[in-house]
Amino acid sequence: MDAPWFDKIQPIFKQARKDLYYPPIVKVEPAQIETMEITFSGPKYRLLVGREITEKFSSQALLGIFHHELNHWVKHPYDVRTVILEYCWLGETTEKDEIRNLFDDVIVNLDLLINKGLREVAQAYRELPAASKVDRLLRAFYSRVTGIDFGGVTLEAELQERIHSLSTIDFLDLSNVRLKNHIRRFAKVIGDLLDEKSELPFICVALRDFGAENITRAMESIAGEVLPQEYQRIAAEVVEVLNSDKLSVERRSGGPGISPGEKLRISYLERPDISWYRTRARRYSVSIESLIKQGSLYPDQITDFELDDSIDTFNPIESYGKVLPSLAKKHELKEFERYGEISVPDAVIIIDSSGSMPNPEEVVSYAVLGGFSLARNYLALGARVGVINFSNSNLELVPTRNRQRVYETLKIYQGHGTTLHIDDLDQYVRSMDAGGRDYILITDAGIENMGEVVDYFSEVKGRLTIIWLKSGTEFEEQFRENYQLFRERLPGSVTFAEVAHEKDIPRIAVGKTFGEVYGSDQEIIRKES
Amino acid sequence: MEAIRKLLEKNRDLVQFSSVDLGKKKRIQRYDQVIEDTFDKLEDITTEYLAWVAKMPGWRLEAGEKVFIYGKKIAEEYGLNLNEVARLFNETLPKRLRGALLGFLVSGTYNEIIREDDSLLLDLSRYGGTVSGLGYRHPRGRLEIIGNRTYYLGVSMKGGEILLRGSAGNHVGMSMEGGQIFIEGNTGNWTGQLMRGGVIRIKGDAGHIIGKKMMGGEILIEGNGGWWVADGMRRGIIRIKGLCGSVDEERYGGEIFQWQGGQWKLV
Repeated sequence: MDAPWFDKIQPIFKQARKDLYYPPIVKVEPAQIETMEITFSGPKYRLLVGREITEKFSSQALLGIFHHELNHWVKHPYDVRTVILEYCWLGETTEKDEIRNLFDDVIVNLDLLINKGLREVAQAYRELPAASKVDRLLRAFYSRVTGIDFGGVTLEAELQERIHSLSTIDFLDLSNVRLKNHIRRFAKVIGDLLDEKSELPFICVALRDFGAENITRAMESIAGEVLPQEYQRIAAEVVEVLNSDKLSVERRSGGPGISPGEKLRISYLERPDISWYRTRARRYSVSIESLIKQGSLYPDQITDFELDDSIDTFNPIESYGKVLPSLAKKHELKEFERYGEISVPDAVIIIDSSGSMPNPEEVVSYAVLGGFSLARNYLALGARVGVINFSNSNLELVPTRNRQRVYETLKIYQGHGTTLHIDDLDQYVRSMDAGGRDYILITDAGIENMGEVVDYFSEVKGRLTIIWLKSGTEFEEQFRENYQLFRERLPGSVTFAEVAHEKDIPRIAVGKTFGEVYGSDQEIIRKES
Repeated sequence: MEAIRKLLEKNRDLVQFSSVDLGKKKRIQRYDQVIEDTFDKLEDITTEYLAWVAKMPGWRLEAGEKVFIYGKKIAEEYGLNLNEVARLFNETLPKRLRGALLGFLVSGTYNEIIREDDSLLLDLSRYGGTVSGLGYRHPRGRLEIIGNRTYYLGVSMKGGEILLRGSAGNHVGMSMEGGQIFIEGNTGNWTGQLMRGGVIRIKGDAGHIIGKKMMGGEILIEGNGGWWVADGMRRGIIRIKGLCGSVDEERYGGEIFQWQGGQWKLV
């Protein structure tokens, strides 16, 4: 251990944490090279500080630098999601990482100086001469806004005009729509000034510095906010960044980074079309009635709570009341001695991907979303899921626990006619092992061989659920008649669900109606046997 | 109490109230003086929409649905209220756009926020071209439109009321499910196509192919109707006060009335 170094740095770091109300970056460690970095990986964040920096700067300046870096965690960008969005909002701009970092620095510095009244960051600037145009421009801007000296810079007339442009941006308004607009305007102001290297001691974070887990979580959050096409564009950019060799971001201090960042390959992002639906489907639980239940479970041990886990198993006491990654805990359930298997059978999802169904690439397809939700719930319960994707031909996947293959087959859009080939379906069913099985047909009911399909399903062994997608097209009346045919001719054990909006998806129930589960039922009609 | 007193004595800066932080007030005042915030969310929406719609290939009704969904997303993202929607359509958009699918966009922006007793006034006279898709999936409340250049008015309307002070182009009330559309002028062709519910009332004339494949609801034309009335009609009512061309022979159901001798007579 480096005792003198710690003796100097530790009190300053503690003071910085106190000033910012104790953010969870709890450790400061010396780095062997000249740089500063916050690593965002691991349950406890730490701040790495280059040894030379502690020699170059006074205590007050170091406090300012700590304030600045910690405020990135406290204020902005705060999470990887914002980093990704800011990067993508810059569109075709070059030097996107550099611009994004400078933009985030402006927000953080102004927040320290204006909102928090912490002026020490200006001392760090004063102790380091302004080396580049953009550095001088931003120092002059800070001085103008705060009245504090940032190293006494003088600006030529051309840069003076840019100060005016910067003064039209309210950096302290951090709502999403503002951020998007502001970062683009900021890029226009400073975009052509980035040819000179800046010497500031602050960290320059790039996407590749973050761990796969953080990026995954950020992309999940983004999927909840944007439409599929936009998500695909964002995912494509992220993948490009992570796979690019050109993105070895140089630190502003001139030296190499502490963690050069290994190339991350996040496989699921290479199929963003699927990951959008998969993430979105996590919002929904569908009710699947087990066939037999002989006993019950008891909480056996406490383990980490995962995003995919049922909230029923969440342990609020061990989690301190918070659902936070690495903190939240759950009860691991174990069966009593006389417990019999909860029999959730394997499922076969038969999904219509004909031309009358919405193309999941272009709009949000509730058929695909519903299919993903069903598959996710069956797989989570340990069952296997098979898929038959039909349009002009039946694309088949035998029941499996391979999520990716299930999702891929559900997502395929054939876009042709609507014939469910009964011979192929029969052969598929016969090829599977004996035992109970759930069949779920998702269709807008615009099926050309309707009579054959009804006849076949009248005799199928296994539970059948029919999910009717209201099409809203000029054929809806005819499709409604087909759907009525299903309801009239199929046996009473069949469960029916109608989906017109995304909000209908949680109402889907297999083997039992939503009303029976939750007490009221408007949309779903089940024939009571 | 003693423990708290000791704690406060040791940490005198522990309790600080922002209400008495005069320094912060001064800093913010200075910031507000220097920063001349020029952000205009309606301008920003227009810029975003222009960039987005430029990538959209061709125009079909499916494109209208996409634009509508985009409008809904924009309204949520920017937290638009009904006044801002009116300003967006009447003031900001016409500066940079001639029309086209804007009706779908605006329908998306107000779809979630309009209430039963709300009224939204839209002025078409500022647009150089036609505006398609106004009142698309209109859920409730009143939409009042001034001008003549609107196509696909009230498509898939669910409820509420649309009043057009002017004439409309083709496809008024297509796939309409509920609510009322009043048109003070004339309409083009294919009025009430695939209509399932609600009422369309036209003070002037309607073009050809009225009520094609109609499945419910009522169309009342106070002026004249064109040819091929009720082609493929299954259910619903069409009333024409003036003259009309042929009633299509390929009709499966529904009722057609004409005003004859001072009363409605079933055709």
